[in-house]
Amino acid sequence: MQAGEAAEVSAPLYQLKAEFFKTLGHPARIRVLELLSDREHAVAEMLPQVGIEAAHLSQQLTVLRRANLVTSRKEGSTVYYSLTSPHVAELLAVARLILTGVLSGQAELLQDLRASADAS
Amino acid sequence: MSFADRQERAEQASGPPASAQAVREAAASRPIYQVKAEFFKSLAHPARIRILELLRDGECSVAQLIPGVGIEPSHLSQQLGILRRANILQVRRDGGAVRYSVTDPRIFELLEVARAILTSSLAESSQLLAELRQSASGAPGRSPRRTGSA
Repeated sequence: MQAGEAAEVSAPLYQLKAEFFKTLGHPARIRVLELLSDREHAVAEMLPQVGIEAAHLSQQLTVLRRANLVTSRKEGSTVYYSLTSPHVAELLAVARLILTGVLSGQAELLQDLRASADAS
Repeated sequence: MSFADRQERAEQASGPPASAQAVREAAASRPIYQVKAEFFKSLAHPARIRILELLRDGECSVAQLIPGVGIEPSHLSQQLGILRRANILQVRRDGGAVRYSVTDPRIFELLEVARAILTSSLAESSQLLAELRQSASGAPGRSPRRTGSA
């Protein structure tokens, strides 16, 4: 059983995949990736859209860059960010489709709940 | 100037706070971004990813999942609970057996895209590693590329 454990879930590959999703599990980082799904953005352009302080944004951009999800280039004093791969945009699109289903399921639940509350 | 006009002027003057409001609406603080973040967080665990991969071939009972995931039954049911609450898994009771399956098969597509991103990212790292090794084994020059003098 111990050996099985070592062979399965603790394998570095599963840790790596878990870390990948942990990187995505942050509202500001998702917002940044959505903006970059459209096109390259300068940091100053992203600030009002993401709605967090500049220092905090640059921290989140560093996390995304370390995870190899975004790359940056400098032009004069402006730093531009873009997605490393179009797969990242695809990933967000699939996640949105799944969540839409999940949330509409919850809306139905909510309706049922309200109906049952009215009935009682 | 009528009261209404003054009121309107006052509202126009208070433009900046109104636009700040608009910015907040567009920002990452909106509940939808919290929901999206929570969704990814619910996938961010080695055992939960393994569970989803095992369910790719169809629904499984807990007993069927235990050897494949390789964690204790109590820990496994905890992880299954997280995926069920996130609406990623659904449960079907078949007599005495409880069977789990994914709510939306597009979750497999998501894992596949994630794997593709990780693969290309690792390929890039291993190329960097190879270049690093080459520069270490070469002459004490700073460039990883071999020069004619070597």
